[in-house]
Amino acid sequence: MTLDYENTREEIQSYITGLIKNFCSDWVVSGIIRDENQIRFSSNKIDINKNWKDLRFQLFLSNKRRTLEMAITDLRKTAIKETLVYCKKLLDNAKRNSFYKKLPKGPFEYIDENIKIFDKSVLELEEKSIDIIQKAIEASLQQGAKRVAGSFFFGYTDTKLQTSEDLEGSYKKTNLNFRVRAFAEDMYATGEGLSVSTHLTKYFDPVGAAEEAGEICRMAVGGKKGTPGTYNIIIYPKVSTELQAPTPAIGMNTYIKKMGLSWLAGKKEGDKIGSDIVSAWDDGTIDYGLASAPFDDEGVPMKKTLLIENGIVKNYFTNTSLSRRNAESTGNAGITIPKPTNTVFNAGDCTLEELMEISEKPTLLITSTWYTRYQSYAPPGILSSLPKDGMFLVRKNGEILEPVRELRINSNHFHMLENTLAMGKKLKQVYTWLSTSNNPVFAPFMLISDIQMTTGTK
Amino acid sequence: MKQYKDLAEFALEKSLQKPCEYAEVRIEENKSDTLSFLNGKMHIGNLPIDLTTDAFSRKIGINVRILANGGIGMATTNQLSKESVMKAIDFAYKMANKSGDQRKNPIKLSNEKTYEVSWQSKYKINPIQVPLEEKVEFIQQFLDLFNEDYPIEYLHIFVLLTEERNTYFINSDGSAISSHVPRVAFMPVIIGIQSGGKNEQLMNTYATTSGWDELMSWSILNEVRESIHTLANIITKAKRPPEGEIDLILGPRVSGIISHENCGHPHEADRIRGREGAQAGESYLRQHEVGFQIGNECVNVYDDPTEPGSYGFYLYDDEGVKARRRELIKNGKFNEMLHNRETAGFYGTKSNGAARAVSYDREPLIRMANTYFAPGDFSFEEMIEDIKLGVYMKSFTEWNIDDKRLQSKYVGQEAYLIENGEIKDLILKPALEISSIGLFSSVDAQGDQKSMQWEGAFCGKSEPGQGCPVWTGGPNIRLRNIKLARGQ
Repeated sequence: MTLDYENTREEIQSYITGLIKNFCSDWVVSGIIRDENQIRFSSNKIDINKNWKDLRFQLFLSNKRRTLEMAITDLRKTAIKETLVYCKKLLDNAKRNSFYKKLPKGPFEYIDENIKIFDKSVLELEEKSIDIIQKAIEASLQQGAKRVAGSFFFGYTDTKLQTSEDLEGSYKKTNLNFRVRAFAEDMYATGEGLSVSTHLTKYFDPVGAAEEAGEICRMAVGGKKGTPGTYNIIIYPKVSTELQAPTPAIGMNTYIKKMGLSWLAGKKEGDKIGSDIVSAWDDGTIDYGLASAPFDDEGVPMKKTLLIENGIVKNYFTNTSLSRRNAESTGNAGITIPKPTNTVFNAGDCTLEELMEISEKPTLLITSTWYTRYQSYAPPGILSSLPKDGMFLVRKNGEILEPVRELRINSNHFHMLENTLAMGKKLKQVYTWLSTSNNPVFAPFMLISDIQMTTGTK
Repeated sequence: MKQYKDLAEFALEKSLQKPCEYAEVRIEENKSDTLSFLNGKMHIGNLPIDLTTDAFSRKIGINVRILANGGIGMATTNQLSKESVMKAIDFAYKMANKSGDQRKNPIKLSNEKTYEVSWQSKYKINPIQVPLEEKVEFIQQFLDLFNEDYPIEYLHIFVLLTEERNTYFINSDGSAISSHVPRVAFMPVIIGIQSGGKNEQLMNTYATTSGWDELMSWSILNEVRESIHTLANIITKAKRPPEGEIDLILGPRVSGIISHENCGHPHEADRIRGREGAQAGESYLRQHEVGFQIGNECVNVYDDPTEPGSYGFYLYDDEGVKARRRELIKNGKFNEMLHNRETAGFYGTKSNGAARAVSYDREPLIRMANTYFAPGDFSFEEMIEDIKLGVYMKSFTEWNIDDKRLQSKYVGQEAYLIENGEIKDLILKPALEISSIGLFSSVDAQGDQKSMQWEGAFCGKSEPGQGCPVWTGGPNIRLRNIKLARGQ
């Protein structure tokens, strides 16, 4: 199948570039082949088994500093020609994009063979995928779950990029994304576990994720409605995708900041935004990272960029056009709007048990949250977020006292970064469904102080 | 789509050569043009928010779904050759079989009437065919509003989304259905900021399937102009909300979102059964039977895909079932779930046509269409006349709800104090934090038909995500004896 699509990609990519040269001074065409599977399951049974095979072209087109982005999956040549005629008309009538300067010239050296993002064994997984799910379901049930639901994505993409500046590159990448949720009879007693990687044998542990989900679910049985008030919270790595990662992954996007739509508006490099123990990077080069790749959407090699160091703003991530004069792109194109790759937090030196022990105030252990919503994107970015699965009140000596439920986090990202007291010693890659940061995050457990928790009044 | 009917028929014929219980084929074409202006700067491309997968795109592809051995397999491709389609069929059949082996109880679909029909929404001007210059001219009127002097600063985003969806659906039962629906949505996002950092944000969605001419006939400019002034007034003049128990009037925008979040979602049968357990969540109604008293007898919440011109309009769903109004809460009782053929088969009933997909590469899932609080017969004056101390929450900003759809929060944006039956000062961010049952049990009056309003929205569900176009709606509604929190 791959060969069919590669031949088609060659033919169509050549057809597209041939046409757009006639009306664009600057262009980028990426042909992306995808072969991906998803198995969804619930109530311990498989609900559906899916496969997507497609070829799409992502186009950036510019003429006289007018710009547009277009995605094409309609592969008929007549349709492509019609679409490109329409694109020309759009460009002729568009206003100039004052943020757009140029495409990068290169030459660049791409080091795809050095980044671990492709594992051939993922391509041969089809027959084994149901066994993986069955084992995970059983593991969760053994931990005490009554029902288990989840989703297992696996597959690969093959990207070929060409630009008007004669940059050309290609890479293949695999992905594994397993998420499992365990349920007890008690409606509020649930637990979630996840495991993501690019390689089957590296950091991919679906059974471990299912055991974690089952254990949280079992421990949450019999919980009581929590008392509203101010608590310290200890968050699981995946909770960072809602509470901590949005600052480096969204707030530190140059475009969003320029537009004033970041809660970091007004904060410059050198400003303090978090506690001394918080550092974060955007890292498109990290091994097994779901967003790692040799190059970004305009052909610049992906990099590791320090965004926050010991609570101080060091950089905002950017593309070529939005980078400062004499500064380089951080390898985060989106050509018109930059995008994050993998957000990586620093690790600390505490185990989860130690985090629970050192917290001096009433403390909640929060295993997941969802539905984070903002009153406004302007500073300070006031939000609330809902703990979804098992949540536990922790005794001062570090023991779990009891499961609690029906409490809502009310805070803002500054407060949470400034009040981060301690970090766990181990990073975990997390990528969760519908998360606010919407990118892969490598995060440890974190202890954050003085978070307001509220509950319903009726 | 005509040229692909043969391919769809080929795919169905080949699918039926496999020993399967059911097969369906959907060929779908989607066009999307999303023009946006961010602080006055024109942007033709993807946005940092997920409204659609691709802001500007041209897509077409085929989706084959097969039920065999009690399991379901689905395969999609945009290589529209017989060879690629055969591979998709082979995969869908093979994986359906394997999934069936893992299940102890086979999936059974409800038996449904078949249709050979072609349908579309009624419109004069297809929004996607409107020239760029005209779209820019439309948005420019809104940008010009910011040339005036205001006591605060504004950030603003205007997004104009135009789409067209064409489908051809056939299944092994004998249905053959073509559809054509153009859509347009206009979304102003405005943030008012006072020096010193106090700020307030509004985000509205005006959306229809009745064409560009319909959108142009609405008085959106006046509404946005008024909202800009209101934002300034909220920031500079609003006072603290009252404490203790009060009565609360919720405006149509708020009653609309409540009908969607607190009623529509928990009535989805896939959530009740647990199929969305790892994604959008389950439902508190899992613990209750149809007939359970959710709220006061005056509460009626419906969902109706056939509402003409609505953003969630359709006449046949993506499993070929004829659409109809669903009466979710009737006289305060849990009356009906939203069903597709799989859940209807499980519960031994008929589908009520709630299966929707947003593109060829997505499975049809149980979705709302246009969900609303049914109006009552109270005028606004009648609703507030006996309120000694209350709040009128006309619109909302931050909101969320747990994944069982029980514990919800709505923070007011434009909100007023009510004293002795009269609307008084603006108040700042009153927060309603309440359970669904607590909320519906507190409703004692619904505004009349005159106060009924609709709002466009994109309903998020499933994995991979499907942002489904919907309307939410309602009249003013009154809640008694509510204790408010103050938003931060």
